Amino acid sequence: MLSLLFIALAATPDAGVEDARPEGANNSIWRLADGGVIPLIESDVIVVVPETAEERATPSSPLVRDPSAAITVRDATHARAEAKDASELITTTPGSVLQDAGGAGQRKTVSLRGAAPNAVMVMLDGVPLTGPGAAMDLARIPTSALDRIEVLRGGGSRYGPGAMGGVINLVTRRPPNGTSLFADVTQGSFVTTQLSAGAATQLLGGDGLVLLHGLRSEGTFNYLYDDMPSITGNPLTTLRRENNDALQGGGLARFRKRFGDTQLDVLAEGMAESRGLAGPIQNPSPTSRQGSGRGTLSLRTSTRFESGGTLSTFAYGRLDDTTFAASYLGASYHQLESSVGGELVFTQRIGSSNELTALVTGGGEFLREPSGTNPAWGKLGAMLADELVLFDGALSIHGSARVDLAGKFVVISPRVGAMLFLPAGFSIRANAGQASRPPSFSELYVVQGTLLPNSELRPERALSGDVGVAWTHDKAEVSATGFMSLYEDLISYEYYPPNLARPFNFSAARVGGVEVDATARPFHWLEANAGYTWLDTQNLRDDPRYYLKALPFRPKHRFHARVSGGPEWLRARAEIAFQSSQFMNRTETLSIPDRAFVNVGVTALPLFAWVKEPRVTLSAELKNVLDVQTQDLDGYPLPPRAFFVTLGVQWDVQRAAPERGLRSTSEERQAQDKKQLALAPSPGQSAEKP
Amino acid sequence: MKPMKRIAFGLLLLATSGVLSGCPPTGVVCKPGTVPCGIGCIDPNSDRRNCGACGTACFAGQDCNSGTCACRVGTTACGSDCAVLDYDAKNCGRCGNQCALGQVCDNGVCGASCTSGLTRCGASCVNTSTDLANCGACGVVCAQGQRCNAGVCDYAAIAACYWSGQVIGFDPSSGVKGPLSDLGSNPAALARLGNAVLVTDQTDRRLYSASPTASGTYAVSKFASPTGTVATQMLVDRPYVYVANAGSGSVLVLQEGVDAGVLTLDAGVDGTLVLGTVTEVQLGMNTFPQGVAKVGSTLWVPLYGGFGAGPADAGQELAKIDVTNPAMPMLNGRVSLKNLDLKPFDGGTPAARPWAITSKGTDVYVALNNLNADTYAPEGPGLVAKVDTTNDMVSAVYDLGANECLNPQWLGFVGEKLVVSCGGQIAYSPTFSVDSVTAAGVVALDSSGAVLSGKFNASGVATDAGFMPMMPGRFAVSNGQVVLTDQNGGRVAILDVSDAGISEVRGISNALDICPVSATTGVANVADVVTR
Repeated sequence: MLSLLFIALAATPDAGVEDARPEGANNSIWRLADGGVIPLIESDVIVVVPETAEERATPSSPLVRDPSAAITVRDATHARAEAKDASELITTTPGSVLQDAGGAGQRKTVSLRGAAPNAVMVMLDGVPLTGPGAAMDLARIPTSALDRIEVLRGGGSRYGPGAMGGVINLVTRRPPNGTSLFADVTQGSFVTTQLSAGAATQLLGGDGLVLLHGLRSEGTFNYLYDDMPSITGNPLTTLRRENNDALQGGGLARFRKRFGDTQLDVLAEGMAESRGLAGPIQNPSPTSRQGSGRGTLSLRTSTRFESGGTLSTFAYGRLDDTTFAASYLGASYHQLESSVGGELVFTQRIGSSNELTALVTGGGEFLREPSGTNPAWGKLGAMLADELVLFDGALSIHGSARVDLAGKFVVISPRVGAMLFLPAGFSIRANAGQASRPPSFSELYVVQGTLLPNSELRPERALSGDVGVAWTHDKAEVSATGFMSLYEDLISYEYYPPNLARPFNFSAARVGGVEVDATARPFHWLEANAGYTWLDTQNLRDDPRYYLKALPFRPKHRFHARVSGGPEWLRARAEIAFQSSQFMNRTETLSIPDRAFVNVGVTALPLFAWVKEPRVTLSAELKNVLDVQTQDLDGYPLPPRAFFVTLGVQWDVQRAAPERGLRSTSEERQAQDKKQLALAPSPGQSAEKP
Repeated sequence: MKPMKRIAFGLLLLATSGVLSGCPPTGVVCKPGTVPCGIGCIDPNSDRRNCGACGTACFAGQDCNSGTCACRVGTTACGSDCAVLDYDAKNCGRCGNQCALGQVCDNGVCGASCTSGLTRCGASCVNTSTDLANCGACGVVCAQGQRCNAGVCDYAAIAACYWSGQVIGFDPSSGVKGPLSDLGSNPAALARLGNAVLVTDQTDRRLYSASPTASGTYAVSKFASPTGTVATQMLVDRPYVYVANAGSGSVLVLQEGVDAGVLTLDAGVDGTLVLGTVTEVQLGMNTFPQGVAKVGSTLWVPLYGGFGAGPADAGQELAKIDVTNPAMPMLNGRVSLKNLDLKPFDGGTPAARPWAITSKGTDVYVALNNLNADTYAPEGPGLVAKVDTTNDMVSAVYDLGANECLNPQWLGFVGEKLVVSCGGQIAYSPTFSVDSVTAAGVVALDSSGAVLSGKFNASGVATDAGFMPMMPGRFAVSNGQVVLTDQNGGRVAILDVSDAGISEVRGISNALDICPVSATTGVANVADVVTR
């Protein structure tokens, strides 16, 4: 099913950011006249103004590939003291639910809009981080390596198979203008230490960045254990979580350079980790361990033509080596996963109201595992997309059709979306599409302990749609989105003799809900944001035991609110994250109770009054202030109250002049603070308006 | 709007409609083996009121067998009637022989009155203690597949269908089944308590109770009891019920008439049976208790151990629980099975893996799976350990034979013979369907522990014609016969036990199809069976 194709030749001037206009979900992007986009990031204080036009999002970004979709962008640069890994950032977005094995460095996966974690495509600067149909452990991505996260909620049809529930694009830290050195160290509860250090400089005519990071946590915390689960009201026992340690280390190197009209971006990233696998509290595993290492390498070019076209090329490779010892998989289980891929994207503006995009992609996925099956897949894909802009840009319609060959599966993923900008800051957005998740290699081919494979599985399929309305003001944004997805051929593990389990396609489900997101910045030193998700899931086709019952591990209500304020040299923050009860099985007979976590923190610039460079920050974070004792999954306790202190240093040794008249984030912030200090009232006097 | 833009809009609308086409099918699907009928689901193979199809009722005296109405076992077709020639006054002794007005038919002879000990029901002389059509009283008709025992209608055997979430009563001797009854989500273990059947459900983590109805189904009580994780077996010792919770590593004590912790369900029938929680004995993490046997005032609990070699070490023992006061059970030591000679195959490093337990006199007998702790592959012959409870010593280990019995699943006594079912070793096809089962079946041991020559061999290879190998699981004893469950094909085999060993009454070729096979997975697990 193809969308319309219009090809016409027109020449458009190469416009710059001066001609940009805000658009997208929550006006989260600036659309350039040449079609490029620059993401706007909400930060502690102000909306970050893009530093240079080079920071535009890549063709892999949801902001570019699916601009009418429900996309949330979260800044990582200001969250490093609060969030240790990518999962802690992502769970602040509406529509997301975290599944947490408990503890720093322990497995964390995210579901989006009710879709399982293995239906969410997670990318690192466009590089898919897992094999087909597999879930990504977000604890393996430290926040220190990130600039921002981009979360596309709902079917990621334009990303091909594997993005049935949505897409998370983790954007790595970008080389800033000039030369800078940075480092931070965190120390905290459960003998947790986290380090990162790096440098960025002008290099070989371009910009380079190197970052190293590490994490060590013993993860030994006390938790309450019910040794008589069949009895209600019995006193609980305090036990200590053992074999829950984690040791991670890694780094990334990024280089970008412009060659005439072509931008080159090279990224190399790697990490290694070792962690204990504590297991569920009913049956802990004192000796199980996991060791893994990952390496990714990607190269991206982007060339703009005077005709108004853009050609992007992208090539990547990924290796992921994992060993389990003394686990349910056996005494030792080793697998090596690898993938290579490439993508060509050509975008051409045609006339004043039309932009055509053509994408071709190819690659392979490989798995070496103990049984010797060693599955391998080839992948091919092609997509045509068209953007139609009408009524002087007030209405844009995005249609696309994508077809993929993933192994033996042919998948078709059509999608259509529209955005309507109304007066007074209002906008309406709507999308509909079909997406899929192919079965993973493990589900298809690999025996893992008591889990057998099934080579006859079919891809899961989803039809999804959403409608949203947003209102944007210079001091506030509010958006509300309603969504619904229909799932078919969901894969579920069922009993298989003797006492094993095997996956089959035989479920259908409906997921619907509402996401509300609001941000207010009444003053430059005060920001509040809140998000609420109502999620309603129903098993649609099954026998009476399950029909119309809720899907497990999908809480109906999630609420997150955060307020931060204060001058730049002393900012305090508080947040609350509430999650309602969730069922643990398909029959709604077991559940995890609702819970609310409260976190508070403060960040100070202790040398602010004397020294501007280097910028020294000292942060303190108290997590789970109320010491809520709860668990996730089935028998995985979450950490109790915890305290962390972070010392950070950033030294901009040499700052280059920002391109095209834009000020850097820190300069903008300093200007605002100077104005505020000048206006600060003397005792007994009120502040004057500027 | 310009024409080209109009075309663009039209194509976009087409794309949109295409996107929204092909919605997934939805609707209620009855549990396997049942079909929609009115607002509910019925079993067309065994429901007399809906035999073969919704609304097709069998006549009086007929049963519904495999969707066809036929005269009930013990009756004779006389024209359109199914007559009991022993007492049918219209067909007394033979079809068409009608007794005179005022006479009765007594043991096939017309007469003036009934023989002593028989009850007159109309013009028939019946034994209300055993008559299926007048059970306990005139006109009380037992459901198909039931027997009339001492004037009470009940099934001789009840099976739990784990995958489909059902129970079903049946007569092992006649092979007649009652209709499937929905019960819980994944019933795993059964026990009888009076007229009720108790069922542990491993998904719901509950113990349900259900009572037979006039139609032969089981009606679930609205009162249920919470259990721990993976409740594998129950032992009824009225008024107490002991439940082994493998996942929780505990033994739960319930008591009749106690309402502590009792759950009131949204659906279910009012009942008098209430089992409340008394206490729970924690045996330790990773112990995985698999069963319960009682000798004197001591419970004996086999501890399977956790997954993998390390956690497995938490088991490989028998736990003892003193229940002199069942409301206050006390842990009373353990008997180790760790240093037994497991007779490993070459290169094998098995763990004992005690799985099932039974008792006789002052001895307990424990079936040892004898599997590799990591891979769960059999690495030694099936074994039975005999423990003398008077001195807590393993007094014997019986070798069941590597070619005859691997991975023993259940054991129990038939007279003086110890009968052991063997799950065998499974081989999977490249597509991981069950390809073959070897060293599976049932063996019997004499009092010295010697394996008798007669064996039930359940080993076999799957065929394209649809033959499914049998994986013997639990069994129960009815009238001296072994009623054996199949964990693969949903079947039940009936076996005789004699001094020569085991012989087939209903073997693989003519086993009873008890639990519906999943159309998707192709398997069905008869998780447990109890007999009266």
